[in-house]
Amino acid sequence: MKPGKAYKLAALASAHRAKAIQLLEMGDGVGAKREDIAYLDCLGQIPSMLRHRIGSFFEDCLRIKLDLIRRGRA
Amino acid sequence: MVAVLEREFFVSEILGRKVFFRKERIGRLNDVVIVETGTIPEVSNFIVERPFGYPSLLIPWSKIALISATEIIVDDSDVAAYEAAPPEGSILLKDHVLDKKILDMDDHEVEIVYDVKLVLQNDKLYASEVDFSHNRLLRRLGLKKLANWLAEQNPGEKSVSWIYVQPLPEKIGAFTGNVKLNVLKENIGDIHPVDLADILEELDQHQRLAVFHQLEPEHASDTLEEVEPRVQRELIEALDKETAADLIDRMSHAQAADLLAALPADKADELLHLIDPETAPKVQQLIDQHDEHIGLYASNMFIKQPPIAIARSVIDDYRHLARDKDVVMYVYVVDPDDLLLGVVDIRELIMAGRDQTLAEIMSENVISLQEDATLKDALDMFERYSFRALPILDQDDRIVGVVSFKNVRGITPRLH
Amino acid sequence: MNPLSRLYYSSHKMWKSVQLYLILAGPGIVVMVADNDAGGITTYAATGAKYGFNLIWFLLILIPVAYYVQEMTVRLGAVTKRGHAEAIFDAFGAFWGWFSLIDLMIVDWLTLVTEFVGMTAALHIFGVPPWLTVVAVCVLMGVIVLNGRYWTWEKITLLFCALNLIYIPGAFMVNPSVHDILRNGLIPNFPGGFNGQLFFYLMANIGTTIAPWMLFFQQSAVVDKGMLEKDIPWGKFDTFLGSILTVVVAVFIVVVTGTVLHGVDIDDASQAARALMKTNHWVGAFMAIGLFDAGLLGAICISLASSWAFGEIFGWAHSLNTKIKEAPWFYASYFFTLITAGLVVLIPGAPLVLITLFVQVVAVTLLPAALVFLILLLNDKATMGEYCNTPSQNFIAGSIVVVIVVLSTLYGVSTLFPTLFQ
Repeated sequence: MKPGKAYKLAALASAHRAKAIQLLEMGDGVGAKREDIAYLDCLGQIPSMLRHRIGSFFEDCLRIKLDLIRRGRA
Repeated sequence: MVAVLEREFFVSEILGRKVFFRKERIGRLNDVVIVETGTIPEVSNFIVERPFGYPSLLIPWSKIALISATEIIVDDSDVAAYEAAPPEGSILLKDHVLDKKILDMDDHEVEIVYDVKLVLQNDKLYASEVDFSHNRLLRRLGLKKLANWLAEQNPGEKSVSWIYVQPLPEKIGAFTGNVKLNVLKENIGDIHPVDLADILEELDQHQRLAVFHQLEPEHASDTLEEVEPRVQRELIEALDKETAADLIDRMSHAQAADLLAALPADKADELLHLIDPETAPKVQQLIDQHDEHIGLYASNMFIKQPPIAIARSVIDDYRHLARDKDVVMYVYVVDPDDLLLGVVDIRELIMAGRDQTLAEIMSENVISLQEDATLKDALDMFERYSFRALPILDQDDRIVGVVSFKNVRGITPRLH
Repeated sequence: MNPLSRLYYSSHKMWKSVQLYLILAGPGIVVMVADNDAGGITTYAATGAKYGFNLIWFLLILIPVAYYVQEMTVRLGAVTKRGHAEAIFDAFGAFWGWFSLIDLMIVDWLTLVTEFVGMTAALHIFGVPPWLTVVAVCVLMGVIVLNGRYWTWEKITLLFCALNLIYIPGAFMVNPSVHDILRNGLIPNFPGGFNGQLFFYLMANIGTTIAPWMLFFQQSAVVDKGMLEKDIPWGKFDTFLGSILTVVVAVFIVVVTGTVLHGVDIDDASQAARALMKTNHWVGAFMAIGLFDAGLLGAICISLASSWAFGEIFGWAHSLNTKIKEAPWFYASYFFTLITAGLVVLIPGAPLVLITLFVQVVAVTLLPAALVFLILLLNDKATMGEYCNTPSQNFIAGSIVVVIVVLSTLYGVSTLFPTLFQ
């Protein structure tokens, strides 16, 4: 897999994860579960040897996303 | 192996010519049997008429040793072995084709087949052209001088290559059947080089050469440009150098460079020496450019963004980002090491969700050029994908520059 | 396409057909012109002398009659590639085969004698002794066939056919009244009422127009020329042209004798020539030359008709395209009939008149059989295919055959019993 693809998947995964956290906070357990499955699915597609490389990117993405969501809500 | 004085001649010129079997005079050429093979008919037999009611002879083309201006010599002495009538259903050029009406695609009467041009190619004789010019009519009527005079006054020869003749009707006979074309009356004479190129690509090599030799130089040059590189190579190989150089001289510099670039290097060099000395350096320059390193045309003024960048902030920042950049329609997504991760078209960026990261919306399958690519490679790539710019990557997939179509377009007029 | 091109196209097409015709012309013209043999010339001369221009219309009727009968042999020959004798043998068995052959031999030989009579008489007018005529004719006819080519034979014979047209300038030299010819000749009429003698003349004219040897000759000639099925239209045209030519020549003979000798009783053509010489030397000479030519043409065709038929029946090589060594019997029979017939004429006191009469009788026995066989063969769908007779062709040919058979039988009878129709 090209690194670009891995980055894309990681970004998508972070978006799902952020959404799941947001839904959980709003009390929608079912929706949060669905987003979490999509998040794991995206992560699962990334080959293991690339996972450590994009680990920090994923963390950054998730942080920015959550930040955006909170700011949007504020 | 046949020897002929001229490589091409008209059938009416050889009809009636004396025929010899080695030294012995046998009779006169009465007719020519043709076989339709795909597009251009091939001459299979000569029919020789003998005096005093002796049965006529059917002589295979392979037995003809010489066609000179006054006689035809057959390489055999056993006359009786050739006594035969042409087989049922064979097509006789004089009896069945000559002086028949020519109909166009819509069955309009165009003219009369006054003559048929025969061309020798690789020891085979092909019927290459149907001539319906009044010049040939006058010659047929024996008014050679008048015909020559008129030809000088009005050089627009009217003839049509046999590739535009539909397969002859099965029941063509001495008094039945017409010669039908698959072009319209209006189009005869200015058949477009692109169409001609298409048909040439279909023919086998000998037939192709037989047709190609018939074309006016201007027309041939145009057609040569249009055929695919494989056929270009074959045609140039088969033509003599002077003819090839003449055809190349008639092309624009860029077209000539394209053609020469498709040839093996030594052949191209040889031809470059033969073409017009004034144009040769320019063509040479263009060919050299084809081989030039793409890096010379690349720019490093392009928009780079990390995958984590947010679409909204990129759009907000775009004015700033795009300032002084050469390539502004793509945003290249790179990691901290400049490894190219993906590319985002400006249109995709605008249409993306404002909160999305570039990594989410980028196309990760990036068409790119290698660092050692040449200008020619770049041109081919642009032609194939019609992108407006292409990134150049080193061997570790790091982006080293971007070449925009705008920058190379001027060098290749054919690709606008 | 401009008018010039159109003109070129149509004229070239026409010229091409003429060329093609010239290659295929031959049997039809030859057989038809040879039909005006020595006996024929005599008949026409006598008709003209007796009735003036009054029977010209009857001669014109003979054009389709001759055409429809002879045209069938072209088709039969071109399709089956066999001569008439062979065709009869195969289709109707040995009896009719031998009957036809022997009958043909006899009638041919006898006719040949009459040709020699005509030729010797014609040249006698110019003071050539009969023996010299016979020898010269035999040598000439030997030369014509011995080069071993049908083509040469045909072309030389066509030359003699052209010589047959000598009657046409002859007729103009006697200044006939065109008005009389048109008024008396073209409207069917029976001068002096329909009596026995007129009937005899009508029958004589038909009898000379359709002779049995003509059927055999043309079919064999078509085969020897190597005509193919695709050439049939040209062969028919050839026959048609020939039938017109033969009648045109006949009409001009009638015009000559009808103008100059009207009311004179004539027994043979040489007598007419002598009589003409008294009034106009050249016309008489033309008449004599024409008579000799007619006799020669007749002799050429008749002796060949016999030889071909012989060859076909006995299975010998029988083509003019063969050399003597290849077809000895063919040439032997040719010369045998020729020379014996020539010698008979030279015998002092030979019953030549009787022979001339006898020709008609034998011909009458052969003609019906040959004609009926011809129609039957032309109706054989298996061999003829698309060239089979159509019902209308059968009707036309059938009626012609019936009329000819009846009339020629009566004619044959009348030659034996001259008083019958007086």
